[in-house]
Amino acid sequence: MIKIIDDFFEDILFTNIKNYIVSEINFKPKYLEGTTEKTQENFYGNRFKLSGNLELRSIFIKQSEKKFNIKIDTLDDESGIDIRNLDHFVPHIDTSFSKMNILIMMKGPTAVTNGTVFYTDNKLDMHIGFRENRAIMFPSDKLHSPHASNTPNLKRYTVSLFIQEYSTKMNKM
Amino acid sequence: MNGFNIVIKDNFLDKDIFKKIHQKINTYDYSAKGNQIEGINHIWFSCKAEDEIKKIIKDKCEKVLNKKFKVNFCSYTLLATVEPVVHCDLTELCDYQIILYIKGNTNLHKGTGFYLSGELNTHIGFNENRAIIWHANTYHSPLNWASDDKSRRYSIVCQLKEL
Repeated sequence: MIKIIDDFFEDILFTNIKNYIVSEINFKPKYLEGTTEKTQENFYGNRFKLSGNLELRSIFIKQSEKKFNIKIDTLDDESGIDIRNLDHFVPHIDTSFSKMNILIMMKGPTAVTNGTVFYTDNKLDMHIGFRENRAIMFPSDKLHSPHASNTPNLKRYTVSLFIQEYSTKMNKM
Repeated sequence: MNGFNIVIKDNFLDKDIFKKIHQKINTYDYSAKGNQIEGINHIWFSCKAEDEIKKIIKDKCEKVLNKKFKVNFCSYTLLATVEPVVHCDLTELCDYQIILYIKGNTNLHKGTGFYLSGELNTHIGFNENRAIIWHANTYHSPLNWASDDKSRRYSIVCQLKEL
């Protein structure tokens, strides 16, 4: 099951977090898991791990629990804030980290060609467009990719939470 | 709330029930009567679903959204639209809407598009036994217009009032 929720944070809190992310955080280059060569193809983007700011980590966890009606028991340390490389599609799954992903769109242009795509039977069959303050929850074994863009130097800030263990008042997804 | 609140669930119905509906859905008499959106020509043909099917869909939606619903209507639908028809279905009788894809060609461009400020923002492809549930304030359109494949697609559409 995939869930899309807009207006994830209240307006003022969202603006404060977005401004903090854009102006205060130092990102490090991130390469695809399982790759050793630091090539452009393997370059995933820049990441700041949330383990480096526990207050921010806690805010994202609490809001995710509230909006998706779950209790997050264990979050993987790879969870972080990303500036994605959008020059090519990178279909992947995240089962080495987690059971469930939450992606929160923090800063970038609103567009269908700037969000996240999902694949079924290795064929692209869903485009979830980008909109600031939108969150998507999906199973980590669902093949997905950032949408590639032809726009040069397009920056897109997102938060990825890799949830290892969780519980819910509803049925498990 | 002004934005999206959308759930996509594959393998929505149990296999046996899905198979039963899949086998019969193209045998019903479909009509455009009553399927009107103000200012827009009729865009789909429908046939009222049996009470048994209505209850199954309602129960599944209640489980997925963890809410209680009353069904406003529940219909089998047939669509071969060639023009985008962007609309929302929010009324005092409808808080949530579900489309359950039953029979048709799997295709990214034959599903449903969701719009922000009149612009297509998200599209979900057609895939048999895939359900999309959304808050009824969301603007959407069938996406057949974006596909070269103009074949028919059969679905179940329900409107739900939260209790």
